[in-house]
Amino acid sequence: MDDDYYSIDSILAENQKIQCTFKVDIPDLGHLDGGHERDIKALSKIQLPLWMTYILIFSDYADFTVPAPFSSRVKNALNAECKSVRLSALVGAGASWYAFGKIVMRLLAQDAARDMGAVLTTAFRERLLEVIDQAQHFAALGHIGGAGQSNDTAAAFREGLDATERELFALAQDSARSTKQWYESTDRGRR
Amino acid sequence: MSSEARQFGDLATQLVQEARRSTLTDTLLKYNDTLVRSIVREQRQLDTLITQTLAQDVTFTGSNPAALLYQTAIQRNKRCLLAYHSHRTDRLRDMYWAVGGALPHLLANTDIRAKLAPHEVDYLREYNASIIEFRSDFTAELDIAASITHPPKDLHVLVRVVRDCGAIQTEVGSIDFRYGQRYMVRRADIEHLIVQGYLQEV
Repeated sequence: MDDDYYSIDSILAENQKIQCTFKVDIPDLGHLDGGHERDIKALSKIQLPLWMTYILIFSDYADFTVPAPFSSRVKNALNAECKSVRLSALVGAGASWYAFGKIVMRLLAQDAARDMGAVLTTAFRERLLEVIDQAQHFAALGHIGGAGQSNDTAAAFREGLDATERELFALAQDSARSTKQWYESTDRGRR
Repeated sequence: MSSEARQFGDLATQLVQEARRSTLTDTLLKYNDTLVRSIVREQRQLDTLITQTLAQDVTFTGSNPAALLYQTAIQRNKRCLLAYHSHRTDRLRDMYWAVGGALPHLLANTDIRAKLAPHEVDYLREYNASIIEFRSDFTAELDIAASITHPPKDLHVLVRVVRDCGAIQTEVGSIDFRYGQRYMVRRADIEHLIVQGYLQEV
């Protein structure tokens, strides 16, 4: 995902909500929470979309808690076996876990951001092999996963792909198909 | 006020989601004039809110979180609007090049025409004019509208007519292309007809 101003994916990724704790009173904006309070009181916790929180956090009007998809529980699960974590279940259908993480990184302090970046890239790198492997063999073998995995594990992994990985999966499948087509075609007799 | 029922930027999100749906299904959706207008209206409301908030804040010290939040919402809406429109112009340009730069052919299609906003038609016309001006310098040597995915292998090509397209001037005189007939013609003469789907290579 790019950070381009006009990027549709980037805009949608910033719609993910994180929890903010306000440090100041803000009058007349209680409806941001969807609640019926008239004002935002200091120390109240509100779920806000990311795009709205940058300015609050950088202006020191609010603090935020690291969202659940990047909690230490998820980090431990990724450390244990990153292929068995269902990223799609963490961020909801059609959303990108990596894009979300990239944005949260911007809000974190330097050390925490570096750790988070490491978690994201390691997970991506280790999962990518399986993504491409399955995509290459998906059409050919039907529903059997790569590397001799059982049917269920492979299917569960496919369901757990986040939006970024899904896109790569589709691309790898296309590429495998075109390679096969090119390999089997011949230029002779076509002129 | 209506913005109390919904969250700031919800309408803009709808608009951006429509752009994404258009990309995923690879179709041009109808220009959503109503939604664009509602967002512009939301922008005006937000602007009024900022003015009000700052007017009430008599002891303004350079920090007013409420005004800052309205401002952020305005910028967010603006970004969504711009992204939606740039997504559409991208698509329109792709369509323009897919038919080899034949704008009348594109606009004659009532299906497509119904999905365009008036200013998008203007945009296409002006884009077309710029391209024609650019091309005119070297039309004799190079046709930049020619397909690059399937480079031609011969000067002549055997074509089958799939739709009547009337008499066309070629190097061997005028040919009246009728449905179902086959011709051996010079590629440069009829390239645009293949791109637009009147003729098919055999």
